[in-house]
Amino acid sequence: MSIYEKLETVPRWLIFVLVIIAMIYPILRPIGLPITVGQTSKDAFKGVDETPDGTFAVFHVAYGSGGKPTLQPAAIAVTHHLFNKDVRIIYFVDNPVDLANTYEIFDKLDPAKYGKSYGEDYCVLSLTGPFLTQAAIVVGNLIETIPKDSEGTNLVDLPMFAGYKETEDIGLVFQLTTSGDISEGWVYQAFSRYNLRLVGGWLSMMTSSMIPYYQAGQILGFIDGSKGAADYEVLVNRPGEAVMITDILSMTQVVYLILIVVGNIGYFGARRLMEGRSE
Amino acid sequence: MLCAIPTPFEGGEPASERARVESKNYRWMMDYVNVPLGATMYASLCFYMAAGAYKVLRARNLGVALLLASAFLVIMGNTPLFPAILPVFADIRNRIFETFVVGSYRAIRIGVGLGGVALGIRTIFGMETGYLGRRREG
Repeated sequence: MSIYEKLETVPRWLIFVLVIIAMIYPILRPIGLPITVGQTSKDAFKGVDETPDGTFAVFHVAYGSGGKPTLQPAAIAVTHHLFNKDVRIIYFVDNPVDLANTYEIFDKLDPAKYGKSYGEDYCVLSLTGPFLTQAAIVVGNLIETIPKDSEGTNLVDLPMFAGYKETEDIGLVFQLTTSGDISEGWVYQAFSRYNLRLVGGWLSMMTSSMIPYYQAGQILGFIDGSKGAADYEVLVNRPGEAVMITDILSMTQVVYLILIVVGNIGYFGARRLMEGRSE
Repeated sequence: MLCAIPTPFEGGEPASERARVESKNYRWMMDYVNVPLGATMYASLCFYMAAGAYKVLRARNLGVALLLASAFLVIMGNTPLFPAILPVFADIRNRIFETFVVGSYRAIRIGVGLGGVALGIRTIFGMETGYLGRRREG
């Protein structure tokens, strides 16, 4: 077997080992690469920062356990940003894992340090049912349709909802999701129907389907996967897990590129050898 | 089997505890099945993407070569390392997204929308009976 044929048929286990090494090495020896903040992250920051004082922000946490490593650091950074503003936050989840993720945000940030308390400055809603219906309710007719929060307290008894005027009072809709239906669904329900300010965050592989909405101005800005989360942490001046995994992301993707190059060298080399033999 | 290894959330508190799940059985299923399997599925994608990129992205013809070139440039733009060395990589990636990706995705969405409208009209006028289980004879 020639060297080209070997390069063309690298065993799968070796590829997996290389990926594992690329992940572990930066954890043991951090490289500390500089972070170039992308335009979409800057726009997301601006979108959140320009939320009018005294309004409500609807914050949809929808990434489960799979998207947690990518999007939880973004959720923490954005919550930190919102906690530093005079904005009341309605967290909205649709499954128990995201409910756990949401409470973990509070555990890590300690809202009391920001002078925020549950029921006065933020609350958590746990809903079930089709997403588009949930979204329509949360931004359109919350108090009448959803009587209680995830703790079982009546929404009308929470001080933050005193004088709440539903859609009129919502200054921002922010979503973090791994689902294409949810990311696009918020455009239909928040922007198209009510012209609400919408900012989001999702996995990098979803960006290609969401970027037309950003380019059209329907989404003010977005957090593009782990890189976007790291950008946001830099923008709010609170480096966290996303900044830490930047090195891992770089190393892993460099391994991907090397594998693609090796595969092509092997492919063309082996083809040339075959042509030489047949002549 | 390995997926069922408990993966408590950082800080040692299981997800079910944070989510205030009361039922003991549901707590077990959430902590030992739902959460680990969800995390494992996404984590394993990383390995399969590496193996897939190595096996599939080979410039066999012009079409694949173009796909390979654009994939290469997008990965370089997405990797924090390359824009940190040369910011032009991020610009190239953005340019690809703003032109080719947006253009093709809009075409797909408009096509799906028009197709939906056409199907609706055909259904209203009784020209589309497939949903009733009928098949065209002959």
